[in-house]
Amino acid sequence: MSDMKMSTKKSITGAIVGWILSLMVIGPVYIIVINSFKTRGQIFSDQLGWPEVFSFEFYSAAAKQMSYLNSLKNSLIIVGISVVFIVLIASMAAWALARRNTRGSRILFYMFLATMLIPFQAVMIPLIQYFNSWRLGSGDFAFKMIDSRYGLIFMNIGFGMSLSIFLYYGFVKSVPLEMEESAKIDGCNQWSTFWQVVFPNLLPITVTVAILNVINYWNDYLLPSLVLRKPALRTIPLSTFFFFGEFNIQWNLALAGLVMTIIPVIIFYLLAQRYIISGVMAGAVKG
Amino acid sequence: MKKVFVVMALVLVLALVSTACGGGKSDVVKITFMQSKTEIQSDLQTVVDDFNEKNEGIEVELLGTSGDNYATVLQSNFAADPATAPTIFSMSGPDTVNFEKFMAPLDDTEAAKLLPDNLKDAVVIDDKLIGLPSAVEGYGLIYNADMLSDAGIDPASLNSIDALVSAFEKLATVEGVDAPLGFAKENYFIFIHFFNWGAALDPDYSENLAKVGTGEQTLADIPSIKQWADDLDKIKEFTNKGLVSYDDQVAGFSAGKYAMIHQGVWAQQVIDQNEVEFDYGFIPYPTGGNDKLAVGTATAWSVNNEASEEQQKAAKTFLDWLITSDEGQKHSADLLNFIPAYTGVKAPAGNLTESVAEYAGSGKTVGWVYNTDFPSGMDVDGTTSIQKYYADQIDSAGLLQELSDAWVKNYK
Amino acid sequence: MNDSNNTVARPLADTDIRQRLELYKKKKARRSRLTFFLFILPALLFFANVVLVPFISGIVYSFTDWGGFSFAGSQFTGLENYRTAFSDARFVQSFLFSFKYAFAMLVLVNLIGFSLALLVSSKIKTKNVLRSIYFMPNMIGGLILGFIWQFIFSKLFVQLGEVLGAEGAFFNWIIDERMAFWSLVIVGVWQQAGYAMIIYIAGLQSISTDVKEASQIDGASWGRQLRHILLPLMVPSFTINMFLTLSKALKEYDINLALTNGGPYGTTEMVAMNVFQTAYRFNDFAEAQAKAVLFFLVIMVITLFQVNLTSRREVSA
Repeated sequence: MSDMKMSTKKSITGAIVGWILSLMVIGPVYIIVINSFKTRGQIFSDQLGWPEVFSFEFYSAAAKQMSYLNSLKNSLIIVGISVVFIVLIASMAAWALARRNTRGSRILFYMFLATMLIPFQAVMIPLIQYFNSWRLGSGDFAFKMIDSRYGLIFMNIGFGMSLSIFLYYGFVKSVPLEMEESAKIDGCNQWSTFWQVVFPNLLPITVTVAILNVINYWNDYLLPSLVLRKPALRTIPLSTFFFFGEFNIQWNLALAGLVMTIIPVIIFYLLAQRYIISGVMAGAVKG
Repeated sequence: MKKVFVVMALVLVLALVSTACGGGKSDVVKITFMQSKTEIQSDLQTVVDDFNEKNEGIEVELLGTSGDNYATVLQSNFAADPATAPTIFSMSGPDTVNFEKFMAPLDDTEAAKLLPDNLKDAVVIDDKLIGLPSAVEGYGLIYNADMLSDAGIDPASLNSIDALVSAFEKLATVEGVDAPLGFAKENYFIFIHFFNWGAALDPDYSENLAKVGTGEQTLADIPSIKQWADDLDKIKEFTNKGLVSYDDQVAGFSAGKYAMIHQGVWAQQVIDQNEVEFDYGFIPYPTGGNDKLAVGTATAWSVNNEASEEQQKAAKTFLDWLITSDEGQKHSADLLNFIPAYTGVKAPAGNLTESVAEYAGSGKTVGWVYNTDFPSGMDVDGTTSIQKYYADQIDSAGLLQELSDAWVKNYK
Repeated sequence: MNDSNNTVARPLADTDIRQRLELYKKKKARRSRLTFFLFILPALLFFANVVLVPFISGIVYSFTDWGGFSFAGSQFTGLENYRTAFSDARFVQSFLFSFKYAFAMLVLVNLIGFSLALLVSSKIKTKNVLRSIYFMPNMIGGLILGFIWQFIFSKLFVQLGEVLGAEGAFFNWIIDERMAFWSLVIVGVWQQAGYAMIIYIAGLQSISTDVKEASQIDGASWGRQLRHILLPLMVPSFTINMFLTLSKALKEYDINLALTNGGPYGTTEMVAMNVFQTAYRFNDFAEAQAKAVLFFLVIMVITLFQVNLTSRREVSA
C-alpha cells in the first residue's frame, strides 16, 4: 500500500515538473497561435496580448492562398511514400550490416554514417544537375526526376538512408540472436526470417524511425523548392511561400499557415506513439 | 509479411496514380514566369489569368518561391538546364551580372521604346537591354508629419545635416520617441541603401569606385563618401543604431517611437496596414546638402535566351501586354501598385508613391549605384562593419578603412 | 557445426569428402554474401544516386573554377580554392564558432533530452500529451523561429530587465557579442531536445521490463538503478543522439540565419552560413564547394572519433 502511495506521489510530482517544463514550449507556441489571429498592425504593437477580434479570417485566407487541400494531398503522398520505403529499405540494410560482422560491412556502415555530415548546400546544385539528366521522353507524360513527385520521393529516400540505418543498426545489435537462429533451424531462408521474425520485433524502432523521418520531411522547404516547380505539385511548406517576401512578411498569414502545417504531424505523432508502447508490450510477451 | 506487401503495393499504385495528369493542347506556347516579389504574387496571378484568357496562343504559368529562397531556386534551375528554367524571371541588384549570359536582348520590345534613358543604367549591359524594369522605387527619410509640425519643424527646411541634427535634438525630447531616426537591421537597409547616398552623390562614382577596388585609392578619398561618413558621426547618437528588424522599424514608426525612418516606398503598404493616424511623407537624406531622393528601378524582368524561339517571342508579347497595353497598364497601377518606369504610363495612388513619382518627374533623383558598381558580397561585409561602428568598436575613419579593404577583397 | 564436422571427418581421411565439404562451405559463404548484398542493395541504390554521386561531383567542382551554373567549360585550378578558403579569416573564425556551438549543444541537448525522456517514460499521468508538447518545437523552423525568438530576446528580455530591475541579466542578448552565442544555444536546445527525447524514449522502451523490475525488486535506489543498469544499457542511444546532435549543430543554418544572421558584426557566423554566403552573396561557387569539403573532412574525423569512443562502451546483448 505504501508503495502505491509513494509511486502515486512520485508520479504527481513528475507531472507537475513536466508541465512546468512544458511552459518553455507552450510560451513560444502561444505567441504563434495568438498572433495568427491578429492584424499585422496589432502583431507588432502588442505581441503578447489577446487579439482585438477573434476571427478565423487569416486561417481561411491562408488556406485559400496555400490551396491547402491540394498541398496537403501532395505532402501526404510524398512524405507517406518516402517514409514507407525508407522504413522497409533501411531496416533490411541495417539488419544485414549489423549481423554480418566483417570489415566490409563496417566500412559500409561508416560510409552511411559519415555522409550525414555533408552540408546539404554543398551537394544541392550537383544533385539537381545529376537528376535533371534522368529524363525520358517529353511532354506531360515524360519520365523526369525534376518537377515530379516521384523524383522528390526518390531523393527523400536516398537522404533518409543514413539516419534510418543508423537508428536500426543500434537497435538490431541489442536484439537477441536466438529467435533468428531458431527460425533458421525451422528452415526459413534469410528473406522470410527477416520479414517474419526480425521485422515485427523492430516495431518500436520502426515507429521511431517513421516519426523522425516524417518530422524531417514534412517541414522540408529547401529540397522540394528545388525539385518541384509546377504550382500543382507544391507541398504544404512550399505553398506558404506567398507569405514570405524578401523583407515583407505577412506574419498573420505565415503563422496561421504554420499552425495548419504542423497540426497533421501532431495528429500523426499522437497516433504513432501508441505503437511504440504496444510494440514494446508485444516484444515483452514474446521475449 | 503479407501486410508489408499490401502496403508496398498500395504505395506503388498511389505513386503511379499520382503521376498521371491531363495532357495539354499542342498548339499553345507554354511559358513560365518566376518572380521574387511574393507580396504581389496573388495579384499577379489575377493579371496572368486575365492575359491567358485574352491571348489564345500563349499560356503563362506563374511560378514562385519565398523571397529569401528565390536566388537559390533560380540558380539551381539554370545550373540544371537553362532550357527548362523559367522563360521570364525577375532579377535585381548585383546578381544581374551573373545571369546576364541567360538574358535575351529586349531592345525590340514595345516597352523598351518607352523606357527613358536615365533608367537604363541598371538594365543595359554592353549596349544590350537585358531587362524591363517592373517599376520605379525610391527611398529616403520617411517622416511623421504630425510630429514634425507639433515640434514646429518644417520638413522642407531639413536640407542640410545641421538642420536635420537640430531637428533631431528637438524630436528626441518628444514624449514616446525612442530615437528620432530608425534604421532596420537587414543588410540592405542598415548598410547598402544608406551607404549608396555617399557613393551615388559622387559625379564620377563608377570610375572612382573601381579605383577603390583596384586599391588605387580608398573610399575616404572620395569626397562625397567622406562627407557621408562625417555626417553619420553627427546623426549617430540620434539613431536606433539599426538594431531592429524591418517589421519592428515600421511598427515603431507607426507607434511614434521614431520620428523618421530610413526606408523606401515599399513601406507604404506596411504603414497602411498598421493603420496610422498621422500624415507622413518623404524627404531626401541631406548628406552634403543633398536634395534628391534615391530612385532606381525595382526588379527587372528578363527573358531566358535559352528558351525556344516561340517561347521567347511569347514572353515578349506578354511583357509588352503587361507594360504598354491599356489593360496591362490598368493592372500595373491599380493591382500591382507599380510606379511606372515608362513614359506616358498610368501611375498608382498613394502618398509615398506619388512623392517618388514627383521627384522622378522633376529629375531630382540619385541612382541606386549598388546595383552596378558595388562588388558582390559588400552587403555582408558592409553590415559587419557598420554594426561595429554603431557598437563603438571603430570610428568613422575605421569604418571607411574596413569598407575599403572589403571592396578590394571582393572586387573582381 | 564443429561436431558434425568432426563426425564426418573421423572415418579414414577421405579427401573427397573433405573437398566436398570445403566446396559446400564456400558455396554457403558465397550465398550468404549474396544475401547480404541483396539486403543492402536497395539502400545502396538510392543512397549512391542521391548522396554519393552529387557529393563526388561536388568534390570535383571544388578543384575547378566552376561558376555556379553548368559544369561544362570549367577549368581545373588545383588547390587554388582551398588556398583561398584557408586564407579567409572569416571562414576560420566561423569554423571555431561552430565548434564552440556544437560542443554546448552536445552537452545540453543530450542532458535535457535524456531527462525529458526519463520523465515521460515514467508512470506519470498525461505523459502522452507532454511528449507531443516537447517535440513540437522541432516543427517550427526558419523565419518563424526568428519571429518568436527575436521577440523574446529583443523585447521580452528588455521588458523583464526593466520590471525586475535586472538589466544586467535581461537585455537584448542578440546584439551582445558574448550573449548572442548563448541565445543561439538556447534556441537550438529548445528546438532539438524533443528530437533527442524521441530517440531516448525508443531506447528506454527497448530495455526489457524484466531488467527494470529485477532492479526494482533488488531494492536498488533510483540513483544506483540509473547509474548501474539504465545508463550502460542506454549507451547505444547516447551514441546515436550524440552523433546526431553534433552533426546537426555543426551544420546549423536555420537558427543562425533566423536569430542573429551572423551579427553582431559577424561574430556569430557559423560554417554553413559562411559556405552559403560564399556561394550566393560573394558568388564564389567553387570556393564554397572547397570550404564544404574541408568542413566535411574535419567534422568527419571528430564525429567518427566520438562514435568510436562511445560505441566501445556499448554492452552487447
